[in-house]
Amino acid sequence: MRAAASLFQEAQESAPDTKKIKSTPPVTDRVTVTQLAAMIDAALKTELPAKLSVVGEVSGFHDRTHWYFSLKDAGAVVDCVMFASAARRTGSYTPRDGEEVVARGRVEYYARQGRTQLYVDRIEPVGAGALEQKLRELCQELKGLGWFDPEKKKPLPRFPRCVAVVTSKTGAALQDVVDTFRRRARFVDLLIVDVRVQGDRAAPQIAGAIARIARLSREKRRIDAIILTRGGGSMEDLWAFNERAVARAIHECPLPIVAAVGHETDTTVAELVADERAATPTQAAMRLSPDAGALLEQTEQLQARLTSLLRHRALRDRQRLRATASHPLVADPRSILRNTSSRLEASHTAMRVASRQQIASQRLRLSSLTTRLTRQRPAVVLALRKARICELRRWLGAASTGLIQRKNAYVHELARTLNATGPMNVLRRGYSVTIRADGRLIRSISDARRGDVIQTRLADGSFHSTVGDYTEKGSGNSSGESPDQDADNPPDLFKSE
Amino acid sequence: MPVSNKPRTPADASKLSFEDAIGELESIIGRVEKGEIGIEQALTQYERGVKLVARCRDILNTVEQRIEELESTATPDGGE
Repeated sequence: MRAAASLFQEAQESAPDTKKIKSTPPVTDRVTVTQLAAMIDAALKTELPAKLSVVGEVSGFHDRTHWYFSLKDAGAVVDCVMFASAARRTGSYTPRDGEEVVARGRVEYYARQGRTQLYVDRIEPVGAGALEQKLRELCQELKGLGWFDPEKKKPLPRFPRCVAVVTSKTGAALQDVVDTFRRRARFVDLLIVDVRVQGDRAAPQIAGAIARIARLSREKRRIDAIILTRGGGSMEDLWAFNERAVARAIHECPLPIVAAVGHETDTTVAELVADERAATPTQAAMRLSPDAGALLEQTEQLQARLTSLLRHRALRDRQRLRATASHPLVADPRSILRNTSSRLEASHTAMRVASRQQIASQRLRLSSLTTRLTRQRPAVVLALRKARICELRRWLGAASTGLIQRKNAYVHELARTLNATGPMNVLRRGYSVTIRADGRLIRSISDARRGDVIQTRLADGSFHSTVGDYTEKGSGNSSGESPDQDADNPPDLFKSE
Repeated sequence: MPVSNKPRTPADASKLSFEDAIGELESIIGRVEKGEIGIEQALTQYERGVKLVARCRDILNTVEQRIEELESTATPDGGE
């Protein structure tokens, strides 16, 4: 967008510096032509502003890479030159003879040719300023509304089936679009909407077309994208695409829009609001036409992959089937029966054996019990009891006899012992025992009185006698006599030593 | 076979199950052998024992016969 961009970049030019001429040489002095030229140049430099804008009519315009023309009005003419670098910057605009223009530049005296020339760096038609101003204002407003925001841009469809083209049916832009689609993607349907692309009636037509297409897409057949395009032209020519109505239509359109308006260097509001800007109609068409060749190749690749995968799958399945089919159970199903049959037989046999065994073991058990029971039958029991009784009786008898015998023997034994230790032995040795009539043993002289009848027992018998005189021991008898040797004084056996 | 030593009203021997009958039989014999019961009771117990033996024998015979019958119908040679 050459013209609009330059508006934004507008820098204030520095104020023309006015230097006073220092001195005026006297008229009579001689100067060379060169010097004169220098003086003229200097005078121009000091008297004129460094840059100025000149309004005038173009005439004698030549484009020889650099632009050569004159600006004239009723009373004067001035030669102009615009170098290619500056000329390029005007974008599509080229001055025409007879056109009223505003040229901005600096004035210099071209000494070589003795000409004063305006070296133009900017040129535009008179009245363009007004347009530019309008454009500037609209851009700022829409930018403020966010209509240029990148986030608002819709993505373009990758594989559109139907694309609407809003353009002039007579223009070259349409042909470019159609050719591109034909070349790359024949299968995309193109819906061509003919509109005026310049003049007063263009903007409403364009806006209306976009709105209609949106409605059509909603109600009848789906449209995937819109191409809005026209060929190159001047700012006035392209002005319809800077109109607010068109901008609104594009902004409100739910379908993605690619705008390619004018030359590469032209940028219109429509292109700023659109979802994408293409430099040329061909570019726009390319953006929306998938490369059929590439797609076909991709499809073929996918097909090859799919085929390969399916083949592998089939192979795997076949292998599985083969494996399954060769399984013993599948190959010979009867084997199941045989297995089961033999298992059944085995179980059957086991059952028979087991039941027989159980009966046999129970019989055995019963048999042993019967034997034991028989041993306990009454007759036997009785007999046993009887035998037992006899035995006990015998035992009792034997035991008693034995007992008595033993007792007797014991008594005998005791008697013997008794005898051995009894007083009989003592008596046999010559001792005697004297007892009173009442049977009481006489041990002391006090036990009997004179005249008592006493009995003296000896080993082999006894004497009866009557007590005469008595003598007490210890009186008149000499001591120291051993009792053993004294027959008259028998030792006192019963006296403890 | 653990059987209580307390005297019970004896059930009809001919109605006892095999295990019950043989169990009681073992118990009786055990007691008589050990001499735990008096001689008068020994006779009664002996009688009981004989009845129990008969019952067990009956059951064994019946079972054996039934098995034979079943086998003869089940085996292939028996025809099924």
